[in-house]
Amino acid sequence: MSHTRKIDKSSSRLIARHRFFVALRHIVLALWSVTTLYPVIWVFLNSFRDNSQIYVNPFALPNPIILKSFPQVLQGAQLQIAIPNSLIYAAVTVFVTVILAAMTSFYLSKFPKRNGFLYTYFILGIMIPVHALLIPLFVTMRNMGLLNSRLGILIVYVATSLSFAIFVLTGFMRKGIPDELIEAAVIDGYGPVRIFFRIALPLTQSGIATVGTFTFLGIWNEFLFALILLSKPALRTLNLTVYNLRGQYSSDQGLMAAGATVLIVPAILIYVIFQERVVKGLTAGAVKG
Amino acid sequence: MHVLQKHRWAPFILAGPSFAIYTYFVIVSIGYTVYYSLTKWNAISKPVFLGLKNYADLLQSADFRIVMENTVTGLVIALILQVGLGLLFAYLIFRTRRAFRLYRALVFLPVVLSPAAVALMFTLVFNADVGPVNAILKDVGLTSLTRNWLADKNVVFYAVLTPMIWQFIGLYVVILLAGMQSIPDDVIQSATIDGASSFRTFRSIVIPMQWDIIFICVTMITSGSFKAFEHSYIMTWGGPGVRSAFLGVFMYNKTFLSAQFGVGTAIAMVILVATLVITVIFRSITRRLDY
Repeated sequence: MSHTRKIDKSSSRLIARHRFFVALRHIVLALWSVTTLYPVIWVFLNSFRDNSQIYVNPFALPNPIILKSFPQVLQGAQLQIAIPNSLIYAAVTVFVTVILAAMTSFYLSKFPKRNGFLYTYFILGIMIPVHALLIPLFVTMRNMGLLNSRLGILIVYVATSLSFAIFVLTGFMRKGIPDELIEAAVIDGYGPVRIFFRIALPLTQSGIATVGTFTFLGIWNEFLFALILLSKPALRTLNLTVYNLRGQYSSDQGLMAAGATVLIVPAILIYVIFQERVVKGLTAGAVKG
Repeated sequence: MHVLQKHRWAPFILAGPSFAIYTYFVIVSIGYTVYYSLTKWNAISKPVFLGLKNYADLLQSADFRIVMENTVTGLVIALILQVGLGLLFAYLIFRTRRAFRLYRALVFLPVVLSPAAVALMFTLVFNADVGPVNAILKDVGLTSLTRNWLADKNVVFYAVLTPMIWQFIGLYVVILLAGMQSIPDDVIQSATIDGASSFRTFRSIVIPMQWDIIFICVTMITSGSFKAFEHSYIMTWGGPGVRSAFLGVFMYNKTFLSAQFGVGTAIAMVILVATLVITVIFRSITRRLDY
């Protein structure tokens, strides 16, 4: 009887110690989550307030809720132009990059004839920072008359997205498409084009989704090329127009907060909906030196 | 696939378009960057060949030294916080069963935001009049520490560095966490049964098994510090002077504001060579660790 009590006592001490550490762990993680979320929430709330409210107390909740910043952002930033622009650039880049990269990867993974060099050549691009391309691409686009044109920026986006897409898709196709399947298809009289569309593409879906998410977010968030290649308001991206607000209305805090909110909300929505895919896409970018 | 070999035109159709676009706009562009960096050029008249003068001038320039100091300081702080704290947070999440997915989702959130949005957010956060940083300092009685964060040349660099670290620490946590999850369960379990404390398990099992992933993170952070642009450009345009500038902003200002395309491309070459050397060195170290 007394023996069991002793065990109970020491094990309850262990359990207490364990509980304490579990609690400590959650406190640390919760504190950090707050550090992560707080700036986002603060900016979001302030987008519903105006300067007079914000200057009195930066931390208060909107009271009353003021909606004037959003229509003003809509007008000043020309969101009805900027959002479709950003969507078009991202969607077209994803579509073209995926098709071109999938075709190339199909060749690199399923035609064994000494193409290791070509693979390395394409993959080199992953290590090249866009900064090293910025100035010559600006000059090239100017000389081609493609500054301030959708085609110009799309070419740049596709060219800088290809390497990573080829890297991921070649990996997927090497592992994901059994050679026997292609042999069987050839015996059935399929040509390379049909094999590509009917077999290679469907079997690489998951890789395509990863590349697609990564590329889409990358272009949606892209700033540097848009800054130097697009100055015409009608062609500007969302990032660029909201950045311009900073110059025009830097003293209107509510308006700037609304601008930041407009940039943040779509990215958060994409993240919430496609969470696993986004995490996979962006951490696959881990190899992107 | 030998059966496909007979289609002799197929390689050109399949790989040709990518090859042409990639070669002309990426590889040839690098060639131009090298060439321009050896010239004096305003992008309008003919480039004048200078040899290595742009590089020599850079090494002499006080601004370049400040920018390099910023890069190295930022790198050291980022390594300590993003790898150090990153490992700690990843391990805490790793050992948590309840709310595991919630924490992981939350810490990764800033990674998906556009750097421009984050820069704009933190412009407001560090605002001298209404920003929470000064407001909190006042509330806890540290009024003497309040600053005009984005204009004071002694602190502006740290104000710009904060969102850069805040935004991407979650990326490294998730990468390190994925590495920890690949450690076989029974290794951790037997350590626990043998009475190893949580900290002991961390130090003696998790860290040694993570070296290659830690190295990948170090590589990414190091080359990332040479590629920094948006936060610095949007929050302060790199100013005052070049106090809060990184190489990207310095390059942009020299090229597109002062029309010194030769100097700008020389800075671009510094970024290119630094990231390539870092990546190659770290990759070969990682590979050696593997075998």
